[in-house]
Amino acid sequence: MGHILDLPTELLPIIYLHLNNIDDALHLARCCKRFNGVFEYHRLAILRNIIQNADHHVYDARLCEEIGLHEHYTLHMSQTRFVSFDPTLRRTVMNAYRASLQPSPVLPANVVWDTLVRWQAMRLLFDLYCDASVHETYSQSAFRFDQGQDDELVDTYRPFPPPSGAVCPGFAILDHHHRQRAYERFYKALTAHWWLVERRWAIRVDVYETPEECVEAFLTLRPTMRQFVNPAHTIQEWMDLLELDDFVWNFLARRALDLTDRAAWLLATWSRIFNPVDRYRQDELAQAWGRVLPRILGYLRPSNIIELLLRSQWASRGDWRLNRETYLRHIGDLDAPFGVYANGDLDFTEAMPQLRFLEGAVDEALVHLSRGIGPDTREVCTYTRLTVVEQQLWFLWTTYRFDAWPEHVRGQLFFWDDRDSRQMVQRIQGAVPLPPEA
Amino acid sequence: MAASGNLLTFVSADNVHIEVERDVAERSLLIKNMLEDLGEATEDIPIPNVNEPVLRKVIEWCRHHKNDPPASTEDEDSRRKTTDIDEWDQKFTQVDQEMLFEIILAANYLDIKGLLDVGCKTVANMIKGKSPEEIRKTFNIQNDFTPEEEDQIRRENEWAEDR
Repeated sequence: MGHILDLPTELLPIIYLHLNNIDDALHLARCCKRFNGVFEYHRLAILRNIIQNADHHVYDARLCEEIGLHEHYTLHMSQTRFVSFDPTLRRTVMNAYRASLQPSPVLPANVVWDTLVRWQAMRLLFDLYCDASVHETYSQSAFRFDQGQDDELVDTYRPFPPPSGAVCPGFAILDHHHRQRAYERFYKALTAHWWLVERRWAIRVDVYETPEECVEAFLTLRPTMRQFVNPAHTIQEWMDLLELDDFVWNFLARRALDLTDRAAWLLATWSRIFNPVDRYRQDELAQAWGRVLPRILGYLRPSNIIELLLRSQWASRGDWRLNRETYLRHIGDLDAPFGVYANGDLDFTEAMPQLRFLEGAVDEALVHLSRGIGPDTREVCTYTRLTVVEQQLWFLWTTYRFDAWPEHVRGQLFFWDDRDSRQMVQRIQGAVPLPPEA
Repeated sequence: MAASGNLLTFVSADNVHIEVERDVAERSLLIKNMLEDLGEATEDIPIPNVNEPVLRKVIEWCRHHKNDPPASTEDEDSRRKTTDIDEWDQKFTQVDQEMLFEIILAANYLDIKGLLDVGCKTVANMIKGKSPEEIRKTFNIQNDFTPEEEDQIRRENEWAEDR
């Protein structure tokens, strides 16, 4: 007695049920025939338990619902011969889907299998984050705040070598446990972001009585995300979201889209319906691009980005064979061409708020930390009502994010060991000179 | 040595008599149900599957946790939401593997859910972040797949392999 395989068979599933990472369960199942047999027999229960309990899977069930909504909507609309001019039809279609969802105390099997596939497939993006060659290009790319027109163009023409297969130094020094932790954090931030993409699409194709109602819908996103932030790592988790946004949506996605031909993209968007691109003066063109590009990026799912990277960058560089308009229709950009107001008013604003609230969320978490209040508070911080110390914190964070981030954080954040919020503050303070005395 | 008042006497598999307070012993659902059926325990209680060192460890755990709320049998999932183990339990489970698995077996036999969970969580934490080969090494598990079987499993999981 006294060996793991001496335990009776009924106890082995309990060990599986205490794991909280899919890879651990798959690895245990590959150890020997007995553990493999237990896994095969209890596969659904084991995976469901992990997905239901692990913090990094907190978005998966919600994400599956939103992806299902988009699929349902697309299928319905593709079967409709004529595009309806009545925007309220869209809400009817979406409500029908939501009503069809059955509340269930346990995760439905399709959510479990979808999550398993997503967990494995999204490792590809994490591998790119860890790859030595991609890491180098990412580190040298224009930082999102420097992405004025020229920087962005320089980036667009800069070569983007394919992955080298070697890992970057920051990842190489991690042991197995920390590599696993790094992917858990990456995955949570990625699914959070993906969920945002789906929600923003749904809000954009929904129908409203007033513009305020539409804005209100966008404003619900941040509080919803706040409730899924782990209180033990508040600041780190918001920073994870920023780094993920920088890497996947502001670096990979921009490269994947092949932005060398801006006019072609502008022509393909539905803004052409109202503002033919050939009528743009040069400055108007730049202005339109500033609005259109974030909107296109805002519709891209991680799966689109992987697909586009392969097609536009590494498989056939410069050989863009996609029909841009068809692709934009595919990702949902043309789903609300006749406005979002029930009364039929057309909406020219092309509103797709950027994710600047992520920076605000870190700032707010810092202020909450200094006030000693928990991350679940509903207290809203406005700059004018901050104390001197809190204003210094704000200055500290802003300087860190805008000046120190590209060198200190970019391409490395997910490799840092878990740090509680106070340790994160010390790290920020160490990288930024003290603010001037107020 | 017969039980008296609030004290019970356990007899381990290797025939050692150990006195234990009734409220401590009742952390074990097996003992609790037995006492409820018997009313008053007047005789020694044999624990035939558990030897003395293991039984003493189990009693030590029950004594420390005697005031814990009773284990819920309804909400199976809630107990598995975390692999965190409290500090005292972490120290308690710093034993060699043989003892750890003996404790798990004893907790299972005596029906002590909390201790069974702590034991299984400890094993789960030893698995976390390890490759199949490292898990085999940690627990001294023989790889009993034929090369063909292993190859097949590897191929099935190839697309899903992490670094």
